[in-house]
Amino acid sequence: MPTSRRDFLAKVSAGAGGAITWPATPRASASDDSTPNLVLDEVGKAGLRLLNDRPLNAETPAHLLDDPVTPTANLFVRNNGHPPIDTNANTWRLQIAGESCVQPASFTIAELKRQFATYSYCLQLECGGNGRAEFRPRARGNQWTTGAVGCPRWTGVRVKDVLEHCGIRDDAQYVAFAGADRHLSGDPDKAVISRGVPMFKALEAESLIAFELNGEPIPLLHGAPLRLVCGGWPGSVSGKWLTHLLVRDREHDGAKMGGASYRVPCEAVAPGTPVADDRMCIIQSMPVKSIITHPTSGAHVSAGTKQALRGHAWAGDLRVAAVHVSIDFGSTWQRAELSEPANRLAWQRWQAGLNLTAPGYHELWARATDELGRSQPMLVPGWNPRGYLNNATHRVAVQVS
Amino acid sequence: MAASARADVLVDAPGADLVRGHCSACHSLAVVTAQRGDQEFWRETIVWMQKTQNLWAIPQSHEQAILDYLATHYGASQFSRRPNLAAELMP
Repeated sequence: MPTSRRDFLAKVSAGAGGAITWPATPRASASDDSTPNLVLDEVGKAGLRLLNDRPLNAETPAHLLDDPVTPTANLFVRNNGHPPIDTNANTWRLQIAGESCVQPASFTIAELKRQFATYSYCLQLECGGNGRAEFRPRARGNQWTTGAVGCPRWTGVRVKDVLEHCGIRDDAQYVAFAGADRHLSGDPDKAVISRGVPMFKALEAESLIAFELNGEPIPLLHGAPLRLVCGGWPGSVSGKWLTHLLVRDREHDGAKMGGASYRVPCEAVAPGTPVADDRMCIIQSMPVKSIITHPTSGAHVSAGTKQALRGHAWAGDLRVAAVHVSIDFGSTWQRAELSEPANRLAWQRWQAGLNLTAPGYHELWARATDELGRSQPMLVPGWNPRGYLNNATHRVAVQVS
Repeated sequence: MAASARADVLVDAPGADLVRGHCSACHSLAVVTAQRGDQEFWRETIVWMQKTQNLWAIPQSHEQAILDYLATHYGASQFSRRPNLAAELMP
């Protein structure tokens, strides 16, 4: 029986001090006759593809991911609930607590900036369900195609520094977040999402308690005024509207940690097979993947001129070792030029020059290989009940004349 | 299945009103129209929402009409990047 959000936080926050005020009523949704474009225009995401306005979810067309650092306007939007109403950076507090936290404490954002060193990293976020739309049978959830991914620049303090300041007990297993987003049903006691990562991930140099996105205070949709960012793992571990970090003595059991959430069958199953919850294993480092950001799919190009093909590649906690491209449906492959990442856990840019001499319809495919020699599949990979981890190759179509 | 210009507009057929009434209090209908599945898929989705997301109990006659509607107009589809292996080739 799930504990109410209030009871859970009260239990693990004992001694942290500071009252939590949950907003009472959800604000009214966008009016029913808003067109999708108006909704996205209102929130500064005009170029994105709207999946749903309530909750707000929108993905980025591949060609809008062409920048080495994803601009805020082009970063995908993922909401499980509604953003909080009050996100005042001056009054916001972050509570550090949990069974394995030696000395619980509470910080304002100003205090975090004063007491701890600030770091900036390009950190890539990808939704665990990016690519879900291709699975058959269909999996329940947002039907992302290729656009639930981005790599902007985040600025904040290290999770490691803050947790070590408070003291970490030897029995610490997990770091979990709680946030101030509001449940769709309007129930103030119901947590929308509260996930976590094992200690090793939380204590990496790149795991940040972030307050800036691309040099500006984090906007509302991306977790204002404070959020967790753990690059290379499913986006759902990077909790937004961050109010608590809990050092736990067990695997965290908050909302969307258990059941089939962000889990795949421990033992692979044929498509459509029902799987019991206790046979599901949690997703950690995301698998190798890439995206073609130029040319835009559907472009008309001239035969005989060298055609630039470029994009990004990533591999969770690992590095990408190679990217290959094909213009003949995988019959032959050409190695692309691959750049270094800006820092660990950023995506890597790649580019190739293609000789498109034959006129007609062409598909341009890209396939990345990680440092352990594992490449992207050509087909949709192992089916799983919730449609996670589709890292099949991306392809764009061009007409050559 | 009839095409719909907007993701939050249901196919106009008997049962649509019940779906609208029971299924758009918390989220928009775009969540519904994005999914495809048979009766069992939709029933399991309702049960999950009742167990974990505060969805209320639906009167049995309404629930059957909702399941019939969704399985008919948003039923399972098979077309894919490449179809799964034929049934006789599966373990």
